Amino acid sequence: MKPCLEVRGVSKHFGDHGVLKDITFTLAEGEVLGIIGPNGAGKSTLFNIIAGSLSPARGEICLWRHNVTGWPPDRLCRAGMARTFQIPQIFPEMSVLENVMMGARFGHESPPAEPQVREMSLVLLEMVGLAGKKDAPARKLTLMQQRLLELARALATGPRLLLLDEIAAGLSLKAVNQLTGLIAHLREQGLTILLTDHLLNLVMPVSDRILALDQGEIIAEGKPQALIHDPRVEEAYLGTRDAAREEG
Amino acid sequence: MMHNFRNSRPLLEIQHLSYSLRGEPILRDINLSVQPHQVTAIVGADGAGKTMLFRVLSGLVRGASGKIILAGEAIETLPVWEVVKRGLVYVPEGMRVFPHMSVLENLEVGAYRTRKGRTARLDLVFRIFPELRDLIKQPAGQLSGGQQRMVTLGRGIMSEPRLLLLDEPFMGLSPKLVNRFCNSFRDLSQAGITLLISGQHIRRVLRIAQRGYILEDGNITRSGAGADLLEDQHLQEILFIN
Repeated sequence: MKPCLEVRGVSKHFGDHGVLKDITFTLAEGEVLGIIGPNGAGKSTLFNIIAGSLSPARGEICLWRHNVTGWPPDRLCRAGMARTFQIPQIFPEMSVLENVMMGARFGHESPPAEPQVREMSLVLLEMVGLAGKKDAPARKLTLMQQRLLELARALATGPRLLLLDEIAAGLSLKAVNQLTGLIAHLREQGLTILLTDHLLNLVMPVSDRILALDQGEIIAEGKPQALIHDPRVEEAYLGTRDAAREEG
Repeated sequence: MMHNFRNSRPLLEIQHLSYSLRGEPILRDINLSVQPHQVTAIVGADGAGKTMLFRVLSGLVRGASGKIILAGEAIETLPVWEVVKRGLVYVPEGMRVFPHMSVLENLEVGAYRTRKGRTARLDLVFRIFPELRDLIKQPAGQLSGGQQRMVTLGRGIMSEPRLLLLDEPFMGLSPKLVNRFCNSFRDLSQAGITLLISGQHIRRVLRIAQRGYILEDGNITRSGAGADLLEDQHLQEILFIN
C-alpha cells in the first residue's frame, strides 16, 4: 500500500535524557495506527515531532514521500495533516461555527470562498453532532463537545492524515463509544489516522495496527488483539491481564 | 457489601447546595456527606457538574446557596486560603506543575501555609511515590505525565490535608499507572487522609470507594456503597450503554 507517513530513525533527547531512540515506522494510506505506551514512553514527543511542534535530533518525517522534517505546523496543515490536542485548543469566545470556519478558512493551500467555508463547516458540525450548538460560544461546551468541535475544526482543513492526541481522555465510556463510531466513520471515508490514547476501549476497536512504545523505543507492533497479549506490553503498559476490561 | 455510614460524624457535609452561572443552574440542591478516613466517589457524565462542585467546595467559586460544613464548621463563605487552612485541599485535573521549578520546589509550594510537619509530609509523599525522591532536582516540566501527576498529588499532600478533593486523578494515565494510583489512594486513606474523588474511570473509582454518588445534570440521583452502585442499572445506562 502507498505510504502516507514515514517516520525514519527519529531520535530526540531533552538534555541527557533520550526521549525517543531511533523510531521507525510507516503508516499506509487509509490505515488507522494506534500508539500506546506508559506515561513517559515518548508518545507526546513523537506526536509533536510528526505534527511539526518539535524538531527531531536525528531522523526524518516523510509525508506522501516528501521529506517534511522541520516543517512548521501551519505548513503541514496546508499539506494535508491536521491534529487535535488532549486539552482542546478552541477559541472560547468565538461561536462553535466560527471555530470550525477558522479551520476551513486558514487550513487550505487555496482558501475556499466564504459561502463554501460556511457550508462546509455546517456539514461538519452536523456530522459530529454539534449543529444544534452552532451559535453557542465555544466556552459553554462540555469537554466531550469541545473535543468534537476540535475534531470538526481539524476536518475543516481538509486533511488526508488526522492525528488524534488522547481524544478520549476524561470522557465517560458512553462518550468514548460515540467517538469510536465517529472515528470508524472517518476511516470508512478513507482518512488515514494516527492516534494515541490510554483508553483501550477506543484504541482497540478502531486501529488496524497498534505500536507500543516504552522508554522511547518501539517494543511491539501488530494487530490489536495480538499486541495486547504481548508479554512486553503487559509488563510495560497494562500491568495486569484484565487491564483492557478495566477501563470504565 | 453494605456499610453503616451513620456511626461517625461526617468530615464534610453538603446541605442543599445550589449554584447557577449566568442564570443557568449548574448544581441543584446537592446533599452529600463524606465520612472521615474513607474514599468517597462522585461519578457522572461529562458536564454533570463534578468539577464545578469541587471548585465551589474548595472556595475557588463563591456565590452558591446552601451549606458546606467541614468538621462541624460552615466554610461556604470562607476564601480559598482559609478553606485550605482548615484542611480541605483541591487537586484539579491535568498535570498542573510549575514547569521551570524543581520537583522539590513544586512540592514545597504545597507547604507554604505551614512548615511545621513539613519533613513528615515530605516523607509521606516519598513513601507513596518513591520515584520522586530521585527527581527532586529536575524541573517538573521535564517529567512524564504520570510523574507530573504524582507531583500535583504530592503538592496536595504537602498542604496538610484532612480532605483531598481529587478531580479526574487518572486522566491521561496508562492502565498500569491507574492501578498504581488506586493503591496510592488506599495508602493515603490509611495514612488518615480522607478522599473525595471524581473521575471517568468509573469501575476503578467505585471499586476503591466506600461510598459513591451519581451526579447528573447538577443533581445527585443515586448514592450507595461503591460496589453496589457499580451494579446499578441506571448508572449503566447513563455512563456505559450507548
